[in-house]
Amino acid sequence: MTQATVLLLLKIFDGAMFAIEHAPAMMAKWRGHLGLIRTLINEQRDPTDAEWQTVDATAQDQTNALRAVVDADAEA
Amino acid sequence: MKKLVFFAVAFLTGCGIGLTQAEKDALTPEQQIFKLANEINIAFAPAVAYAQQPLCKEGEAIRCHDKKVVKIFLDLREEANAALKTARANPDTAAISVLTGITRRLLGELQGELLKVKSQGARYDSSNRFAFT
Repeated sequence: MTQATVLLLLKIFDGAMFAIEHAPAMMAKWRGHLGLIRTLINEQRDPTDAEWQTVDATAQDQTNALRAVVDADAEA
Repeated sequence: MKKLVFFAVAFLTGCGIGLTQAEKDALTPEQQIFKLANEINIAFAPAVAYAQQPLCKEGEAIRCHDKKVVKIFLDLREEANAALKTARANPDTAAISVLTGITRRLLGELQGELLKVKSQGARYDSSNRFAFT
């Protein structure tokens, strides 16, 4: 193993340690698009049934919409 | 200078590894499944919008969908639903790993199809924007 490889691995390790140390603050900032997840982390709880229902309803709506289009195309 | 860039890239790679690990540690299995379910829903929104455009007729050049692509979107969505259902029935670490792998693959395939669709000039509207909405 060359000196450069050792230095490279050390630097990767250094970066990983830095990220782990600062991760909570960084993740909180970067999770803007998933605000609900940030709320769950801040409040240290699992999603409620109502929150799951919202996500499930969106998934079901998307599935139904795609299926309706596929069925309509098959008939056309 | 070359050395500096080399070490910066290594450091950032390490940051990525560290963040991924820290996130795994920070979330409970149910939170992780919930996060993936949200990511899947967000990723599929443009696919649904694309599917709901009118069917392309011969000679029509804009705002139309391709039957085969919509069928692929539906298959991916149903596969994601099944994977989420399995993981939620047994939310342990192994199930989360499997679900994460499946989700990444599905979202990769979905993005690939969306990119293909976008690359087809016929799917651009008069303002030269992709007609998802």
